[in-house]
Amino acid sequence: MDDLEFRRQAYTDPECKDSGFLEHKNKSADNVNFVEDLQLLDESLKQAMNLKPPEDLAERIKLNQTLRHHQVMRKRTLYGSMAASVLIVVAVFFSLQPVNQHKSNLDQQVLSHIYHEIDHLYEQQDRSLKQVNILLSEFGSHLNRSIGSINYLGSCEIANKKGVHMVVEGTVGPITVMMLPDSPVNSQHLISDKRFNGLIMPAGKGSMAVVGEKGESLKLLQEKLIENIRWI
Amino acid sequence: MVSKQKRFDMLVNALYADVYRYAFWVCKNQSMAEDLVQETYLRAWKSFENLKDEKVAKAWLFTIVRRENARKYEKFQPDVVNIDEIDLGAEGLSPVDHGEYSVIQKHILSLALKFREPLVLQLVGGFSAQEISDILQINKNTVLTRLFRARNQLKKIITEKPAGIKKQTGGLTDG
Repeated sequence: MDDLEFRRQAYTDPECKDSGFLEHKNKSADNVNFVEDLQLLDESLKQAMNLKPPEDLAERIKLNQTLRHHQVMRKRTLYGSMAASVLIVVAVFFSLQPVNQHKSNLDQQVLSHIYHEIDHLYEQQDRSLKQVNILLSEFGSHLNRSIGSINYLGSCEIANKKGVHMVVEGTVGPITVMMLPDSPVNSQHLISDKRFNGLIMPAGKGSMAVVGEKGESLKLLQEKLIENIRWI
Repeated sequence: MVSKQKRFDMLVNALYADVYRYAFWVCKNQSMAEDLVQETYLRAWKSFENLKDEKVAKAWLFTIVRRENARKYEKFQPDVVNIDEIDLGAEGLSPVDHGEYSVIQKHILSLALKFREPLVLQLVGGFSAQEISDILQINKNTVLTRLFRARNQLKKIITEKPAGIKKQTGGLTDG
């Protein structure tokens, strides 16, 4: 390797490990200094290039992908008119509490929606509290603390009104939690069918629903939600 | 067997920072870079089955960044920018450190894209000349020439200015 080639190689890659290059470098102190100068330059360049990404960028990338993915899935569905309405159904399950149980249109739509998007019950997205709150903030609410393992998080539509749809890890099985800020209910009531038990209750200016598999105790999740949900 | 969602999330966690840095040094704007990163990962999700080996995930993502940038922003971006016109205040770059690093960032930005890009791929991406050649779809010798010229130019600018790089070991990084 001649001097010209050596210098050219050093400029191209000061960290070059080629044996011919290293041999030429070690021939003189000048050559060693030449390479070290360029290595120092590289250190400064690397540090300068090493920008700090915006806060929460990773969380927002993952959330954006999920939301976009489910928008696409909804468009492909055969049930066009029943497009996903996300209800945060907080399963507040007072088992001895007499409640006015009736199958309202909203009740039916909540249950239908769960069946329509049944795949969400089996997802393993493992969403963070931060991601949950990014989405909740769009609907005017906030969770102060984690309510459990969030396996699915997304936004949907029920009866042309938007809301948030989550699936939380339960003991018996997954628990659907939906928030419908634009679908108020007068009172808390139970909803159920052959497979699921749950409750819809007033929440903020709208309602929340929590629905789990039969046999699931929803009391603990209910308490966590009541304690930690805030309206902003 | 790890699900597609989990694999994708792992890819985000592991590489989002470098993808963002590459996007920034290519488009020179923080908001655009963030948009670029979002679009890149959305495209990556759609064509995830094309990624056969996670080891080449970084190169694959960087290639998508290039394509997205070409689609959206390239027509708005001059190749060489007057340093004095670059506003690197609070709305723009967050300098890694005050003083010399922000000056160096300005110098890097002043390089023409065709010299800046291979250098960023080498120093941010850690790619070899052959890998850079594959990503940029140019001849390997052209890559070597451009790396030479990029460093040559930066060394000249930096050592000519009084506020240029000081010889020191270590230094602050910005994460």
